[in-house]
Formats: sequence, C-alpha cells, structure tokens
Amino acid sequence: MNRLSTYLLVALAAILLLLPLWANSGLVFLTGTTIIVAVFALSWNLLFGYAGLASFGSGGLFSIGAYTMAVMLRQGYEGQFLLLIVLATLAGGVVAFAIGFVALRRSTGIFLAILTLALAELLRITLAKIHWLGAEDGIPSIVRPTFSIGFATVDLSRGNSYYWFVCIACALLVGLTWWIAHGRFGRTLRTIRLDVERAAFMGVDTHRYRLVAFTISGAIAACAGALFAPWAQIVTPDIGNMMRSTQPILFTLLGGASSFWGPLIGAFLFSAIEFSTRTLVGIQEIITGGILLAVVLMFPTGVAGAWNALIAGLSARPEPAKAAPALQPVKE
Amino acid sequence: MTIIRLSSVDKSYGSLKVLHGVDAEISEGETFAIIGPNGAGKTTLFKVMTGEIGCEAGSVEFLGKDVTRDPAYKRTRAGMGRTFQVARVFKEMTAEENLIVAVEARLQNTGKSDAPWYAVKPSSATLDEVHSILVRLSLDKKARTPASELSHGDKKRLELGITLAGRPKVLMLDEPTAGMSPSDRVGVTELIRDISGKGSGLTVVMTEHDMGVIFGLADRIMVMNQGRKIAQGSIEEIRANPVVREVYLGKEAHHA
Amino acid sequence: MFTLVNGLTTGMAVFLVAAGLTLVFGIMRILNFAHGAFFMIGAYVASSLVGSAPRSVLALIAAAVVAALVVGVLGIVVQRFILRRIQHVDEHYMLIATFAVMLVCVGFVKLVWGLEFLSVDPPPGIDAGVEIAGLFIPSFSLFIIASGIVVFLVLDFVIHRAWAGKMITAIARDGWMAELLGINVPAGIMAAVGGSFALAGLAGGLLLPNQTLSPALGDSFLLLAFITVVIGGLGNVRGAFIAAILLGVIDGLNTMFLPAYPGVVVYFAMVAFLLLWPNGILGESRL
Repeated sequence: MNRLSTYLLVALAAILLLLPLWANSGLVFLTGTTIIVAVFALSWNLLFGYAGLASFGSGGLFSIGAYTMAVMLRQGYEGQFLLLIVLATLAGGVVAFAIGFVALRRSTGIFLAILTLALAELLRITLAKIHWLGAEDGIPSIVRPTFSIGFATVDLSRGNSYYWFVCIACALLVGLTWWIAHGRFGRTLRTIRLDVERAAFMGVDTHRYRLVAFTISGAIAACAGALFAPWAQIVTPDIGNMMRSTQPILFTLLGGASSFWGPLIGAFLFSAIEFSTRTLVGIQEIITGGILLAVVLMFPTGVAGAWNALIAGLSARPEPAKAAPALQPVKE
Repeated sequence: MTIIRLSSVDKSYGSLKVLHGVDAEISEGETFAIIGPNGAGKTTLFKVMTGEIGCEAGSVEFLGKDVTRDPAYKRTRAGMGRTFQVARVFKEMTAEENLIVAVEARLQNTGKSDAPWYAVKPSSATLDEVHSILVRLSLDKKARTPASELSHGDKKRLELGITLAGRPKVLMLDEPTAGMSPSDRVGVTELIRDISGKGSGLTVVMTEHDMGVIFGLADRIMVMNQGRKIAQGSIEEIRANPVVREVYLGKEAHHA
Repeated sequence: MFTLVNGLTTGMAVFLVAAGLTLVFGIMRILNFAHGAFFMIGAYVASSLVGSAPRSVLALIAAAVVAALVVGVLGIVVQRFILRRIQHVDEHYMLIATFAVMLVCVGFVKLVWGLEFLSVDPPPGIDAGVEIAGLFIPSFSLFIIASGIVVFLVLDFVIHRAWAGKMITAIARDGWMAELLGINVPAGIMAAVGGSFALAGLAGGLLLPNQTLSPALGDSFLLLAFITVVIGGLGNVRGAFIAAILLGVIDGLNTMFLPAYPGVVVYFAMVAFLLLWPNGILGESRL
C-alpha cells in the first residue's frame, strides 16, 4: 500500500472514531451498521478474492451469529459478553465447515452460488417458524451488555459506548483478516483463485485450503452478526435474507475484489449513496444498480483498482498509467 | 530403476476411446519423449500420468507405488512436477511472487516451513532460493514484472521455474516449445538440457511436436498413433522403424 | 388428489417463470438474476391494462401477451447493451451484472407503480371452481396448469422440431460455425433472447390473478425458478419442466403433512438434488 492510501485510511479511522462527538444519532447508527457490514463484506471477499469461491448465502452465517448472540443475551449471559462473541464465531465456523465439507467437493461456480442461496433461504424460513426464537417477529429489545473484565467494568448500554466497542472489535477483525490474507496462507489461497489446477500441481491440497477459507470466512461473518445483534437491538429472520447475502457481493465488486481494502471502500461508498438518496423512492435502486453496472462494465477492478491505477499514473515512474483491463468485446 | 510404470492404460471420452492398453516404463535419469501425430493420445496419456484425469483400466506406478487413484497434488508431493502446453502462471502476481508461492508450497508439503506461524513476509531463505531460480532462468531483471506482462517465452521459463521450485524427481513437460519463435525454442531447449544434464539425476518426460527439440534432448522415444503405442526405442531405432516411418516420420522427413 | 392439483399449480407457475430463465442460459450462458424482475414488470404491465378486475379470460390473456411484448422489447435492449458485453466475463461478474439490472428494474417499478400493494381478481369464467370426481378444484388452478403445459409443448416443439429452434440450437452450440453457414447470428441471438424475456412477461401476466403485486414480487419466484433451472439442468427446458412438477408436488405434500412448516421441505429437496446431481437430472444443455 502506498503512503497516500495509508494517510487516507488513518484519516478515515479518525473520522469514524470521533463521529459520535458531532453527528446525530441517526448518522451514528448508520455508520455503526456500515462498519459491521464492511467487516462482513471483508469476510466474504476472503472467500471470493482469495479462494475464488462465491457464496450467495453468507447472510445465513451472519444470521447464525446474530441469533446466537440474541438468544444468549436473552438467557441472561450478558456478563460473559466477550465469551459470547467467541461462541457465536465458533457457531458460524462449525456450520460453515459442515456446509463446505459436503458442498465444496462437488460444486463450485454457479452451483455453489445457488446451493448457498438455497441453504440461507432454508435457514430464514425455518427461523420464521420457530416460536422459541420469536418466529417472524424475531427477538426484540436485545440489551447492550455490561460486563466485567477483571479489573474494570465495561458498560456498553450507555451513550455511544457500544459504538466504540464495535469500532475496536471491527478494527481487530480487520487486522485478523489482513494477517490471514497477507501471510503464506493468503498467498496460497490467491494461487487457487488464479488457477486452481496449477496450484494443485504445486502440491497444494486445494480442496482443503478452500474448506479452511470457507470456515474462516463463515466464522468472521457470524462474528459480524454477533456484533450486529446488540447494535440493532433486534434480530428477525430477515437479518439473513437474500439482500443481506448480496450486500458483501455488491460492496466487494464496487470497491474491487482484487484489493484487500476493496470491500471496505465499497461498503462506505454504498452507504453514502444510500444515505444521500434515502428519500428518493425508486431512484435509489436505479442509481445503485446503475453504478454497479458501470463498475462491472467499465472498471472490473472496482474503485480500489481504479485508485491504484491512478496512483501508479501519478507516481514518478516513467511507465504510463495502466488502465483497468477492459472487458473483452464480444465478437459477433 | 523404473521411476514411472504404466500398465495397460485405457481411457475414453464418452464413447470415444482414446487410449488402448498403453504400457510404458520410464527409467530414472533418462529423458523420455512421447511423440505422435495430432490426436494420437499423447496429451491424454500425459494427463493420466500426472493425475489430471483418471483412467478406466490399467495402473500408474510412480517410484514403485501405485498412484492410479491419487489426485494431482499427491503425485506432485511425491515428486512429479509438470508444465502445461500453454504456460500457466499466476498472472496477477509478479514473477518473484510466482516463485515464492511455489517454494513455500514445497516447504509446507515437506514440513520444512521455516517461517514462524505469525509471519506475513516469506522467510529470507525462501527469498534467496527464489532469487537463485530467477537468475538461473535469466528472469532476475523481470522479478517485479507482473506475470501477465511477460513475453511468451518468459512465461514458459517462469512456469518451468515454478515447477523446479518443487524440486521434482520427474519433470513432466507438455510441449515445452509449443508456439515459440525459433530463437526462444533454442533457448528453452538449452535450458532443459542444462537442468536435466547428467549428474542432476532428473528424469524428464515430454511430449513435443518439434523434431529438432526431441532429437536434441531425448534418450528414448515412444511413438503413439490412434491411442496405441506403436514403437519405442532410441532415436536411431525409431528412425529405422518402418511402421513409424509410415505413419509419422515418413511425412516429417520431407520437411526436415 | 387435491394436494396433487395444488402441487401442479405451484409447479406450473414456477415453470412459467423458469422457462425463460433456462432459455437465456442455454443461448448466452448467462444465469440471469434480473429474470424475476422482468417477470414482475410483466405482471405490473398486465395489471395496468386489466385493472383490478379483468373482464374476461380473453382480456387477461391479451394483457399477458402485451406484457410479453413489452418485456421482450426490454429484454432485447438489455441484451444489446449489457448481456452481450458480459458474456465472456468471469461467471461471478455475470451474476453481479444481472443483479444490478434487477436493482434498476425494481427501482423502475417503484417509480412507476409506487410501493402500494396491488391485487387482481381472477376474471369471470375462472374465478369459481369445478367439481371433478367429488373434489372442488379452483378453476384458476386449472388455468395455470393448462398455461404451463401449453407453453411447454410450444417451446418443446419450437426447440426440437421447428426450423427456428434448429437455427438457435446451432448458434448456441457453435456461433462461429453457424455464421459460416450463413445464419445471421446476432439477429438470431437477439430474437431468442427477446423471446426468452417475453416468456417472463407472459408468465407475469398469466399468473397475475390471486397475486399480491409489490416490488418484492420478483424475489419470491426468482429463487424457486433458479432452483428449478439448476435441478433440471441448465439450459434444458424439458428438465426444467420435470423439475418444476417435482418441486410442486413435493411442496404440495409438504403442505399436507407438515402444514406448520410451509415451504421448508422444498428447500431440503433442492439442497439434496443439488448435492446428488450437481449437473441437473437431465444434464446441462446448450438448448
């Protein structure tokens, strides 16, 4: 990452941290939601941008994390909040592992997309029928917990304290994901996306790597869901609907799948667009769809890719700026 | 010592049978070429050996072990390294990164990974090894070039480098000079000869169309036609074989 | 028996939507996320024509045909400007581009028809029921089943028997070769894609009665149609027909034996099918 991008990132982080000091509660809520779904999108891109697998059912794992948290808080375990986050994360990991174990050997591409879509929908319909989980109304009035960490008591129920907790937790998750993506494991995953057969002929057990990536991605998605439950203070079956599952896809594509930061950039851009067009019924979808189309047709590398190309052009190197590779024109 | 043994291998695509009971024995240290006209089944046989595809009948033995049911990655770990007809490199990565992942894959597979678990950057030993491979392939000037921007010949070299980084016992080359300019062809032939020279102990199995390349490299040749092995032997024996002359070299001789 | 009729009705309704989806895939190798949205536009167009109480069965069918024409033209526009460009891109990007088209369509519907729910009654003639062997069957169900079967028979005839179908099949299998034989490939593709989209519009019009129209209408059918298409084998119209009947009957049995959990079993069945036959029951087909 170049210096300019680093400064921008730091500036963005500072704005996010200081936001509650000047913004109204509506904007703070939207920002907090964006931070959580940005991490959710990051977990999805670990699968897509690194392992070359597209899940269209990641909303289901988000939902599992959110419901696990909501139920445990309702049962009165708020004192073990940090442990609950770990528990929800594990739940997502276990479910993702089970699905990946059965599905990945047989299907990739479109089939995996449809299969995961169907599984998430199955989960949503089932949740809507279980009375213990509030059926279609879900679980309302989720508390923002107060818990003790040995030497101090953390009270997340007051003011904006849960917002800052979300900021810190998400920063840690981003750090964790960055480490996974940039280490040896992430490098090997990238070879699998770029050419799965070639990777196998380097002696890489591609199936196993994909399964591990699927599991990690699911665990992080569930963790994001677990953070979201006390933030929204209500979970309903629709928390894992098709729109939720497509959120990370949109963010990632808009921001750029080949860049680690792409999903984050996409999430914030998307929220900004949504926020500024929130009063315009219908126009919102048209603008969102239009931007997405423009990105896919003209900048398949996303905003992050266009940015990098721009930086490359501005820097002192003699080579001309490389334009984003245009899509192949169709020969007819 | 026999390093690869194929016993009566059959393979069909749907109703089309492309391999009919092919046998072959490849000895350690030799350079073994599989030739034949288009559609003879060379590439299919090659894929059966490397584990890219399975076969309906027959068996593949590697280093005395039956590997017929082993997937490609297991055969690679056992010491089989291959290149593809159209060079397959990781296009979004630089030449250097291509080799880093290959070296790291080998270290991981042999349990000799020297980087601590939390490390993000590759170890210095890995980088040293990558650099020495780059020098050997004369790609050191292009270490930071994205693989997608390398010339055709350089891509072929880089792919060979990825394979060599796995320290294979057998080097499987599928048409190593396909689509190359004559000068590139000479360069790659030299490189292969250099890598597999006496003393390296490296076995090479290759399919190839260019007779110049084959006669320059091969110790033994197997000739295939219509999914069957029709002859096998040294260059001289193959040249003298009347059946081969008829189906293959006879036509080729006019060009030469 | 009643279950069977109900199941068949659901199945045929899904088939009407799935038919166009599988055709577009057969021709262009694109799995079109926007298909549900075009189905929805068809329904809205037809509802604008007939109002909330259509006067006769013929009026409904006429409205459906107009909806088919409108959506067909829209489809040609989309094909011309978008689908054609994404045909050779990574399949994930294809899905996302068509998803974007879907968003635009939903926005368009909200702009034109607003957010209110609309509903349309079945026209006289098929608003009551008939008694067959002592069973009361809503005649609108019979209308849907008949529509599904007619559409299937026509499609099957066109694809496998008629000259136009052979031409399109040739294009889908090998566009280059078809061009060599003097077939106007771009025009052929455009006609076929327009036809596939028109099917979505037609389905929207035919399934209009007893439906609550809202901008979310597309989603509810899209997923079922997706699954049908994949289970039947992508691009395979006969497969989609069989899969739709199968899913419909499973759903019918579900309502009978597990009334507390409607729609759950069908998803289980779907997942099982996908895992057991990842290439569909009749296999993938380029038409």
